[in-house]
Amino acid sequence: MNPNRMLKAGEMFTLLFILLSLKATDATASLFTQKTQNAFWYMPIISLLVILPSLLLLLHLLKKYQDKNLIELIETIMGSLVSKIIGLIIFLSSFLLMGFSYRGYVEQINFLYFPETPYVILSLIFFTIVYFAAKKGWEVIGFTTKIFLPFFVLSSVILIILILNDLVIERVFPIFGSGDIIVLREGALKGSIFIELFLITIAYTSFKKTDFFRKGFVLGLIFSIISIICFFFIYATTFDYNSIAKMSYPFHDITQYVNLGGYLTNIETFFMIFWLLGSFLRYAIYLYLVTWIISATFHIEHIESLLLPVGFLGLIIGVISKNLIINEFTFYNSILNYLTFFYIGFPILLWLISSLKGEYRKK
Amino acid sequence: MNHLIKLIMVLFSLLLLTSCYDKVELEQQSYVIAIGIDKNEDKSTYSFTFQIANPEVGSTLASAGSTEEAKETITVPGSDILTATSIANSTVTKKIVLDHTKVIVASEKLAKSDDFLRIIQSISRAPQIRGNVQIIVCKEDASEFLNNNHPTMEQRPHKYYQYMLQRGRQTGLIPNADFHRFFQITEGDADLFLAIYATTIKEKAKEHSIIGGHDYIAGQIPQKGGNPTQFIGSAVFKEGKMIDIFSGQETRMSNVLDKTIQMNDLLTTYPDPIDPNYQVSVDYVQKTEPNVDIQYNKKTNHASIYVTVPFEVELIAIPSMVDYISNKDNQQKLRATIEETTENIANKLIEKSQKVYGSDPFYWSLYIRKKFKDIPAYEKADWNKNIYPNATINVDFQLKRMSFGKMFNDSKINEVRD
Repeated sequence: MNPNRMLKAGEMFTLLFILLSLKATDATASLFTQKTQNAFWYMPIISLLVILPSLLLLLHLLKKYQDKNLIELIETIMGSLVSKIIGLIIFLSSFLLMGFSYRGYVEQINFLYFPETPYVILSLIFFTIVYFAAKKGWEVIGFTTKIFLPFFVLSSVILIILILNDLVIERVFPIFGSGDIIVLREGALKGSIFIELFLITIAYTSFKKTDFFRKGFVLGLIFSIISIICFFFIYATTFDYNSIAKMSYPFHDITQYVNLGGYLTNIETFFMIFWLLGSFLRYAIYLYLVTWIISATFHIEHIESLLLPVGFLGLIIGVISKNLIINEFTFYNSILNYLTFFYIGFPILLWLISSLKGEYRKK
Repeated sequence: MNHLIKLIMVLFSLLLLTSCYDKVELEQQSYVIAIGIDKNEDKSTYSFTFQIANPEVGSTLASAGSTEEAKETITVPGSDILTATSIANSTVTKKIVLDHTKVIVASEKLAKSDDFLRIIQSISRAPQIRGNVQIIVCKEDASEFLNNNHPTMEQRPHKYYQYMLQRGRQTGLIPNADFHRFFQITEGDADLFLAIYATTIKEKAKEHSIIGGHDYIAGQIPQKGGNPTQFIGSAVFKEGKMIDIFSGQETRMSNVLDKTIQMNDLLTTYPDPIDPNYQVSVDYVQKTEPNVDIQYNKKTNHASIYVTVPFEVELIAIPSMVDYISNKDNQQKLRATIEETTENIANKLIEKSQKVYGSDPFYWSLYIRKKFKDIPAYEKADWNKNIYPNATINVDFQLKRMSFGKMFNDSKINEVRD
């Protein structure tokens, strides 16, 4: 119980929902479809199933040790030194992913809506907004997402209704895409697209009751999976398997395609606003979580004072990777694959050590 | 005081809304509505024709004194569409914007060459061109087509194309040929894509017996007066290259048999079974999608396709004055004729597509996909080379209901002339 905390299950739900479901609108879909063709729409389920045991184990441990967040939990079980190493790995991996995906988002805005504006300027503006949003603190982010969520959901529903007429359900067949083995393997390797689920456990103790965290966590996970699958299904049925593979931003292709009757034809900016607000919030959450992890690892009191350096370095990663494109897509792809093993592995390790320790204590 | 400073700061933040680098005034843009593409003699360059709308025409405010034309049409050479816009700027005063492009017109000569896919592909890369731009193939050069097209009623070009194509699609005489569909079908590499066929050149009136009454392609309708531009029929594309032309009637039939296309307004005529000198006009209504059932044998790679199309008709004109309403026998004959004639048209089209094109314009490859486990197996079986050309196809049109409009009976011609 933390009576002085304000956040409840509703905020947890919205935080996780924004963090995860926006993945449906970025390049994740095209990343998935490269190897599995039209089977990519149900791949998130496979990815989730792969990491689910580890995730449940982690939640179980958090519940058992009570009132400890992710890093504190690792420290209690593994001791100071190992916890610093693991904390650092978690931080670095999430930091890199933040940098890369940050770049992806800014590039989408740059390419589709502000082609004349230099990338650096645009990412600086993006960064400034995200930084000020994150600086307001975890609770304000929570409330903001809660207020914003209905609008985001509404705009998505409008988009879905408008595109519904153009779906050709038969396009999901042949159901196994490029082959059942490939789909299973690729789905399993991409478990790390749900890395945010591990990151958000750093906020375990920031809710009024830890029950709220678990409740919001489960609900948020279920609903964001549904929304991701729903959007991926729409991509798979509007675009045939050859077309989707060469598309970088299927979400924006769909918003450009739909019309609101004969008079309102170019309406993509309407959806762009909500998407943009959503991605601001998503990065504010992301930045806060990443900073939280590093400050918890090294016991730094004020998270807010670290936001600026961490965020700015993330921005630099985005800019650098733009200048040294060594097929960034494959690079990102392989990082995701390696990370999956790490995130499956460390909760199991934690659990083993914790149960061994328990045995010792009994003796 | 503190509030005042805050207020001033908030007001100043409004300046940010003008955006920085991408700021452009509405007045400073030229909106292209139609783009024409022609092939030059020289292999690597094309002629691009931009039809630019004049937003002042037709708006109630400026119409009073303005004598400006509704549109401006210019042709420039270029290797792709975006570089051509910059060349066009040597005569066009403002920045050329392609966001509002409604149609892309390609000449038949270009469509029949290998370069068509190349040039269309490069267009789709530009984020300004949307998936719902319609593809039109015209008989003459695209520049000639756009210059000859002088609508008298809808002078504003965006409205003209919007209404013209919308109505054409409703009647089923032209296909739905947007960019999105072009790429799904061409990249799917199994079916035939139909583009809109149009022309401004009149041919000699086609001498033919009117069966169904829509057996025209653009340019053949003996029309008098009005805008010379005709939109009817479709250009058939196989693997991104035009191979043939469908008449209006064939286009309609492909639309009827394709479940991904909706249309709602088919008026057509059938031969009168009792009095062969006359035609019976009906309104063909299809409320449900055609039911396509494919039996597929994996070992022999042979498919049997059973298509059932339930439809309804409403009689709108019986010039022969034969009693089809109360006379059950006559009615039965008429039903049989309608079903048979429609089936004949469909069978002829299917036979042609199997033997001549080796692929189907109905998007039926969708139905065979279920029979395969994964894409490599599906691609290996090869719908358009092996399965479809050898398939046994059975089409059954089922007339579910016949209604007779608001008149119960026609006037008795003998009694009138008595």
